Amino acid sequence: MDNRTPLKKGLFDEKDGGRLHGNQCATCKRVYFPPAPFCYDCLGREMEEIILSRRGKLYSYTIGRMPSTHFEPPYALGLIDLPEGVRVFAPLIMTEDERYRIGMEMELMIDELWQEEDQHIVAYRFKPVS
Amino acid sequence: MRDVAVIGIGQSAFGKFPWRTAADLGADAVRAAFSDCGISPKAIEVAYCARAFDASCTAQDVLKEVGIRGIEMINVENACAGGATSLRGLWKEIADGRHDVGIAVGVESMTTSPIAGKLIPPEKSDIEGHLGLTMPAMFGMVARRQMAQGARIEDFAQVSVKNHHNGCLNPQAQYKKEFSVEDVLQSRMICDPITLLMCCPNTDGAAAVILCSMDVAKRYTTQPIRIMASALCSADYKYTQEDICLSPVGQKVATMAYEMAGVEPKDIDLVEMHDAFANEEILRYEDLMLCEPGEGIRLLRSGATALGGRIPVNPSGGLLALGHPLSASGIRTVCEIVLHLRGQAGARQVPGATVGLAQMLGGLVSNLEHGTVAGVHILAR
Ligand SMILES: [Zn+2]
Repeated sequence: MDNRTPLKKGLFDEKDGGRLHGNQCATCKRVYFPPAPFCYDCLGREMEEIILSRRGKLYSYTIGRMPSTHFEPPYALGLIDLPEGVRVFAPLIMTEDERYRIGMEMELMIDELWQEEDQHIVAYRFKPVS
Repeated sequence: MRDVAVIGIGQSAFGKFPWRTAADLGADAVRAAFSDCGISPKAIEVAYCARAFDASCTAQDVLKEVGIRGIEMINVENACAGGATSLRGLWKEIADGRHDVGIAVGVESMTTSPIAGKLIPPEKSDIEGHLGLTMPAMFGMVARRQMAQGARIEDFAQVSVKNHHNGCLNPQAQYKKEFSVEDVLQSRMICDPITLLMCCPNTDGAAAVILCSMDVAKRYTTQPIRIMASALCSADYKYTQEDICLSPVGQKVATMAYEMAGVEPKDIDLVEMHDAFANEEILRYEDLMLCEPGEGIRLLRSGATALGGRIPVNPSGGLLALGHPLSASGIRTVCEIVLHLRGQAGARQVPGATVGLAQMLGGLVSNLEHGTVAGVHILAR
């Protein structure tokens, strides 16, 4: 029985260790994640799907010390700048010895992040490149 | 366009009053505003009221408590800028010549709102909310960026120390307690490096201002305070906010306000602003051009923004000491500016203040800049 449910369909897949799906305006080339229904910048309607890089740089981070909707503290959160020019907000892995630093090289992973009833909710998070 | 004056200001107590209704709190503020200027509630021609949570005809609900009914009343919501939005709505009515006298109210009961003591579950479509993004998390990440540019965690604590000190001089502050930098740093960690004493508390409260055209104001008071600028704007998409420490919409609204008032940042004698998080105040120094870009930390460390400094910021104690009843704060900040311009601010008075600025910035909407709406009012005597 498959009881894994993606947080949202069409945002990511699990090929090659996990991939984020963005899109790009055919007219002005602006890249969006999550995919935009049209180009917010030039209002162009023609959008092309793209697969985003799995690696990026940590723009900033914080360690949550109070519970959020789905996470018990402590949990790490961050903003990751991908080479395509998008900044992704995502949970980061939380380990005892991991000290995050701005500019650190980060890598995407797809994981079960929390449970809702009998479903494991699957979404993306990032870990430092080892 | 006509000159518009503030003639009456009023505030309710600020604190945690889960047994009091919003109408009850709002009525306290409105009664205080009427007794401040001595006009009759019958003189009010139009009313604006801001409230964010559980709002339903709040203007009518509040104003019936003081005998005002049967006039045009407009209810607004605009996150932390709700109060500024209601003030601006009223200002436009009078500046445009549609009405001569009106009242703007901001009221919030945070302790009875759906967010009291817990987190509201994010909307299904709010992916980032589900993944853990909250206001403290955002300001934690902002703080890390500030620290990468030379800020120290002690600087953030210093803002909280400063504003709590000011709050001790304000009879209306919720927290009248001095804290040291150590106290702030040792309070409970919320979102690294943001500690509890760097976050504004949840608070109930209301504030009200009575405006009228300058011609009419002279009938009621010898001390009308002129609104030199009223500016409000909403933010762009998130991808335009390349540096999360800067608020493009905050800068835009500040520029609009200075141009409208015909003053420069150096002409401002005091500022009341949105210090929901201690580190945020430092960023807003730069948005409001109180210093050169990148000089916010230096401005703080110089003591310029403390009482007695060149440009005191949040002499009231700010949101950190007064608490933040969302829609009330944008009116409450204007009340504080008016007190200083009249020379009635008591122990926290900024001596000789002639021009003051009240700023609000707020709202977290997925896919837009954080700080989704900004409002600035500049007032002068
Ligand atoms: Zn485009």
